Amino acid sequence: MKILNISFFSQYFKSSQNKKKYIRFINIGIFFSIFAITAALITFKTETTIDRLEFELTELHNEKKEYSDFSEQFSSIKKEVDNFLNNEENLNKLFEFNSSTLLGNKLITVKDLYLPSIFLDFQSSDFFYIQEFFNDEQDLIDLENYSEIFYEEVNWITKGLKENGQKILKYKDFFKKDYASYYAEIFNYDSEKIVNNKSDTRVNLYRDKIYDDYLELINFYNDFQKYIHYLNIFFSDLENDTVLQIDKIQKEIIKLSNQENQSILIAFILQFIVFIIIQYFEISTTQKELKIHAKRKTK
Amino acid sequence: MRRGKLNKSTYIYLLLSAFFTIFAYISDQLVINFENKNRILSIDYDDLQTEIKSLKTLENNFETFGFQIDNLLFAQLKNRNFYIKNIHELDNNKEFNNLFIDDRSIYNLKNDFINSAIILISNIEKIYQNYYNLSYDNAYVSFESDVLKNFTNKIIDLNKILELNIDKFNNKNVDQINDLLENDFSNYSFSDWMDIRNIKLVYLETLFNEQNKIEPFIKNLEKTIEDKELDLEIKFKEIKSINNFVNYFILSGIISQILTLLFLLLLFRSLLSNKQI
Repeated sequence: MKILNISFFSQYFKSSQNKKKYIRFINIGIFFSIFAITAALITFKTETTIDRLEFELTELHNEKKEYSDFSEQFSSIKKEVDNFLNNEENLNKLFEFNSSTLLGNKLITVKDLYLPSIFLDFQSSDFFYIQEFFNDEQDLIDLENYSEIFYEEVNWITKGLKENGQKILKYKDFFKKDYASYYAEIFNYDSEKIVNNKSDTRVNLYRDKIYDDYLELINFYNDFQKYIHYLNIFFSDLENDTVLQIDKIQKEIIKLSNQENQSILIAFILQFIVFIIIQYFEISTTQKELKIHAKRKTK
Repeated sequence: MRRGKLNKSTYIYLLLSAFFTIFAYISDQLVINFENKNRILSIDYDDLQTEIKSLKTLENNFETFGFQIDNLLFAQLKNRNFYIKNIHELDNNKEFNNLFIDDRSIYNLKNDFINSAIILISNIEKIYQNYYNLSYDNAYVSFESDVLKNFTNKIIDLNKILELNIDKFNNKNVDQINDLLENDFSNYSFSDWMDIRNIKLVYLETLFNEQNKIEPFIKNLEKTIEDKELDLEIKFKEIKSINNFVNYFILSGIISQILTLLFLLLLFRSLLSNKQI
């Protein structure tokens, strides 16, 4: 059974007296179809480009978030180190002054004042992060190289990163020291050892192994703080640069969307002109044929 | 050609119309299929994002918690021997006694010693309260392990800490040790003062050791967040790729439908223009 009998349409048009009129309607239909296809293709092309740009945009947003997180973390670490150094300095100054008096001299020793800070730094679980930092030496070098590529020149930030990075790496051996043996000194419950600690020295002599290590630790934190400061600036610049790239891509997407509408409008106008021209030639050809046909009939 | 018979171009238009109709249908079906996949992936993505957010909050809480303990340890360990040395000198060195302005200053010193222990206990309780609030967190519950439970148990019961370390005290009863912080101290012996000093130290030692024990958990938490973030990125790329496919299939479907219409119109035009009709 024929579902669609094409001949039915043939008969319908054949019986119609307005074949020319139908062709004109069909031509308009064809014109709109072609226009619709052109518009869809323009949209297809534009959407593909916008999709690609949107993907880049999302990746940039992720990058921005990552840089922002890093920047925040560095800022927070810097504040912590700042606090630590300030607290240490204030507390130590007070104790050091006290220990220079006859009263304080009997109460404060090197192991009381400086040992806890070194012990906590070397023996706490956070020490893992310091070790990790020194194990990933290549990361520091990669970061320095990346900063040079990013700024496209050697500026004060790249110099700061390089110089302070090198300074920090010099502490690698210092952090290999083992302070586990001082556990018993810190958590000492023996009153005799507390009041008569022969191995302990006065604070103000400034010549003790523990004091030297303490100074080294403070120097490390000072250098580390400077390095973190430069890292913070570098990552803030990376974040700002990503914001500029995001802005650029967003503008490009808006531009493409506007261009899409314009292209569709231009395509419509051009196709309409072509359609009018074709229609003009088709009508004039049909009229000529009709005139010839009429002449033949009169003859 | 026989009257009414269709010519070659008519057949081509017909076939092309049929082809693009089928293509439009396939595109529509693919759009539905991909949309279903996308819906499932989006739900997973949202769930994962929420989970990461909770885990990050948990990580931040642990960090804050760690800072609190560190601050306490750094500040308290520096003067762990300060008061007891004062008491020892006061008991044994007359010259040292003379360096104090009056008896009131000595009383204040002893009072400060006891207060410093009371303040430390109050600070540990504050830390515990923060930790206790943290234990209501869903992310914490899902991550709860024996280490964390042990940590909670260890720091919640201060008397238990004293009991476990009773060998470090001169008074061999927990109540007696606690009473040292409340009773009149005028008749305290040096061993009593040592016990007051040791109350502080056993609490600090427990905090130090227990904090170190939970560090692997925090590292594990960091690693989990990292892995989940990687999963999230993969899921995001999948969603993006599916979205692209959906867009392409929608546009292909539209173009196919228009092409079907176009070829139908061309078919009609061909039928009309056919001089044999």
